Amino acid sequence: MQQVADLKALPVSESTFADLLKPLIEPGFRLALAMLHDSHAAEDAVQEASFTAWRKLGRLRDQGRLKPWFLGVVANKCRNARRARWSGVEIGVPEQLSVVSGEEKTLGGADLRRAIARLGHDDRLVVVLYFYLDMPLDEVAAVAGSSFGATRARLYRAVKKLRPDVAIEEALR
Amino acid sequence: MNLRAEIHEVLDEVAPDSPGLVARAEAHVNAQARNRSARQVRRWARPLRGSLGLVAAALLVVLLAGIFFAGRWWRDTHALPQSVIQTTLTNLEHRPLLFPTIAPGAACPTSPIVLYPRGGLAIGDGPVYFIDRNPGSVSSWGSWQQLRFVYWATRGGIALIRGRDLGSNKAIAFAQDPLGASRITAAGANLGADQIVDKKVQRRSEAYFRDPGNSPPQTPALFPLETVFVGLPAGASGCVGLQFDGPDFTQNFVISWSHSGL
Repeated sequence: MQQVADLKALPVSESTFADLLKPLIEPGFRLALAMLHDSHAAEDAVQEASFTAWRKLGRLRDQGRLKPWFLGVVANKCRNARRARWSGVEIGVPEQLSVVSGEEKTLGGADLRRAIARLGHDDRLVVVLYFYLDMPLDEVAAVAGSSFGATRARLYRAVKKLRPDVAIEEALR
Repeated sequence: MNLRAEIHEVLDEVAPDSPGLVARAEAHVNAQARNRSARQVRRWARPLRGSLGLVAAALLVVLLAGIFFAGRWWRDTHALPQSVIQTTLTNLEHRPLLFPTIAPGAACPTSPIVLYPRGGLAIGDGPVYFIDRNPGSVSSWGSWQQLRFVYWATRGGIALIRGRDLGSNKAIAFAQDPLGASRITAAGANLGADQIVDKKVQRRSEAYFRDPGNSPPQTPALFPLETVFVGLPAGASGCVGLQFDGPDFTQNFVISWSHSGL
């Protein structure tokens, strides 16, 4: 809420917004990377989202929800980036993101990453926000631009796709 | 390991460090903001450019309209009113025709061909020079030729052109050149319609050089060739006398209709 107070008190300027934006860059990058599986594209998406957010800051009605709003902008940039390079998108884990670790662990991790990558944009978004960025479901709904119930239902479906054999309540812990 | 922890692990494994990302994002925002400011300045200037373009177009229209109306005003205020022209023509018509008489069977006393001061040959010693002719056409009424003159006006005022066929003493006719602009106007009595080079014309009893204005050009080279169609009725002898009565001169010469050129 300190951010909100700053946002209301200070005029919108490059330095003001850069100060407000800084804490959001890292989660934005993690979201973009999980969505795009490409570090360069993710960084581009975050930079574009930063500028877009700076331009549209005045339109933000509930300025207390700066983080979900900004992540929503990042998510839109990721969707656009995927559309723009649709023909070049690998539905799977890019080679540069593979890791060298224990064989079984690598295979298991690769399977899960591949399963996440196979999810559609909206499903993947709620999964990444909820499980990876540890956001509460109401903020996930705000980022996704859906109602709480619809977001929860989408999350259930996505979890079933990732782990069909896992009980939902157990998975959501 | 629950699903949340698994996802953390598999995604963190492939998440590269991105040192300086915050600084780069900030620089990107600042750079884009500066570009945006420049674009906004240009956007402010855009409607202004449109307005200036409209003003320029309006000024151009006003200028062209001014030239147009000024030209009409100049023409209207400097051209002789029709009544004045008619009065002047009537006065000039009172001057006697000074054509030579030709005895029956005598040769046509054509005027001598002289060196035209601008070069070449001409008939006449000024201020009117007969320069050339073009064969016109033949109709049921008679034959037509396009005669080309230069009128070295020394002062303002119209100059009347009259003529006769000297061998038969028949009146000749004049017609406004239907082929192009000319400062010779066919005038006088309307003698009927005729056809010249597939164009309908009116046969008139006389013609006149239009008023060159109070400041005629001082350089002979600036006097343009003026054309008028002259018609000779069927049965005429072809020995044609032309008389020019201007504000301060009377001039006449005789040409042969059968000649080509002069």
